[in-house]
Amino acid sequence: MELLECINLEKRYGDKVVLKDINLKIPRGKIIGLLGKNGTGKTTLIKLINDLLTPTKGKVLVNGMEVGVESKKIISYLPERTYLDKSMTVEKVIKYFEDFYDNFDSNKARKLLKKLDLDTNQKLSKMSKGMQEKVQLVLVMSRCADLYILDEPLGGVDPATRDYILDTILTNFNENASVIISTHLISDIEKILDEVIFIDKGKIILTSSTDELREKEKSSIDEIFRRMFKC
Amino acid sequence: MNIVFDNDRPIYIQLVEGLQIHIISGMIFPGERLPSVRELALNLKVNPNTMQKALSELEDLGLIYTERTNGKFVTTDKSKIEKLREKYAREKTSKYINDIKELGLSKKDIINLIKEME
Amino acid sequence: MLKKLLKYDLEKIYKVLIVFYSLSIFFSILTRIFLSIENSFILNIIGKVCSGVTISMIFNILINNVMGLWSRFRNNFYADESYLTHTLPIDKKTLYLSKTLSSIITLSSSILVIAMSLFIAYYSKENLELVKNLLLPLATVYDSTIIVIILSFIFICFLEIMNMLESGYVGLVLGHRKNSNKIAFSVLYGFITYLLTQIFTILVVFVTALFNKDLMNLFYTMDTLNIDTIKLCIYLAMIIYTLNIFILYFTNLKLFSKGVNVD
Repeated sequence: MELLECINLEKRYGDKVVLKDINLKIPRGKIIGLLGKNGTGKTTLIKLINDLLTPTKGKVLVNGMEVGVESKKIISYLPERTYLDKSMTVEKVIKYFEDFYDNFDSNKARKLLKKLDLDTNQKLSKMSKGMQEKVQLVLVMSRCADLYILDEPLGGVDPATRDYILDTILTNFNENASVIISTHLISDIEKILDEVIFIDKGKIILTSSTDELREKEKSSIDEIFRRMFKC
Repeated sequence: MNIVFDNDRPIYIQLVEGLQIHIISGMIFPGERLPSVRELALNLKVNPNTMQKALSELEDLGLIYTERTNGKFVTTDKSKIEKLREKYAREKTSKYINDIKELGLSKKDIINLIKEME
Repeated sequence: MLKKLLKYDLEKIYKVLIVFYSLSIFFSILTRIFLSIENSFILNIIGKVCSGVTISMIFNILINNVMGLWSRFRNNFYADESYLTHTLPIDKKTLYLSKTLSSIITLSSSILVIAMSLFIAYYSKENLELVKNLLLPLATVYDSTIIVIILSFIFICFLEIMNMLESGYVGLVLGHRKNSNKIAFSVLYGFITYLLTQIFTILVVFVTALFNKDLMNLFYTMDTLNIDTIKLCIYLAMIIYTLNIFILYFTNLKLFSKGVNVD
């Protein structure tokens, strides 16, 4: 059974079609790049998988089951915004994750946070946005999930942070799990991707293994992407 | 261990080449035990799946072998490494010669040039 | 899971409320002290000021309680934090139930604190007599004690506020159905829902009045109602408000469980 499957998925707001004819299968053990320009439907697709939007048509299956409590147990999701209660301390948020997620490993989280040289008794509101985002990433990656979905984890971060993020993803990735990373900053991460999904104007226009695509086109994924979506 | 990647070519091929260079140059000794796939992948910041693919390729080429419980080792067959070294040397030399020829120099000029450098 | 959710919900709301609870009790004690000291003009003035502050704290408790619950509902379910709430492995029913339960619990405690403040600040033989005289005609016909009257009055207030809260929740859910984050819609829908519950209430009273001539006077004359009719009104109010709350709760839960569209 596929870890994640989207069947004829469609999302519309009134007459405006945001996503259309999305058919997608994601197996286990892969790192997949969901690539597209801003505002092409990447986040919409991710929100549909995470039950933050209801589909207009079609469905999303996780382990063969429709989105719900069971799918939320095995999906660990990093939104593209800060989404924690900012009046909480890091310690408190760790406790919160422990309370609600059976697969959350608080020791792992503490270990990863230590690398950030961070006072865990500090309130989130006292931290920079970048630091908050790193805390979120650590929490999300400290769950032993089957599917990690990271929405724009690299947006506007410095090279050192980017390395920390990629390291964190690679360290915690295992062969039973898959990782979906949405981004428009392709050159930064294409090295770690198994597969890519190109999305444009609400439609999937290409899915391929990254190395096969490089071999075929004799160029980097970033270049292929630029060529395809020349403005 | 360090490999500089070029995103234009398949990563696994670059990994195979990079590891071969490491073996030829003796940065990894014959018979030396390799770190695990995960460690290698993390070290080089690549996907473990890609690393796995590269190691399989090297195993097919007979440059590394797997001991069931102990992990992967570099071959102790020195002739194999020697052969590989020669292959790379030939490739690189012929590429060099072609480059120089493009500048309009003859083979003789090239030999003289090399002698001069020494 | 409900327990844990409730824990975080209550913690968040009480964090603010506890401040007003303490202030309310504190000023009610001050009121008591200063007003009990006789023959001092200045202390009497201070006592009157404290009395005013106590009353304003009581309103603050109610307003903060209601607004706090609404804003937590919105933040948790539709603002940034919704990304966390809706991806927790908990079904929507439990999420919603926790909000309703935390409303009931905080509102009950607020009413209790308000009653305590009033008691501390103003309890005296004379005041008790005053209330007694005010309620005595009611109580005698009622065959019940004054305490019961006061309690049922408090209970109706509680139900009325709960009704208001649930109407607000309906407004928030309806307002966010179409992925539009405009708070104005929520306020509008909430207000309409509240109006509907009030119309429903009047309608039920009117229908009942068709079978009760005395109650009909409520609609046609300005005469004071007789005691039996007031009694009937109190009962009716309790029943209708409870009904309202249940209807709002279940319809809203159904709407909410259909899924959200978070901006």
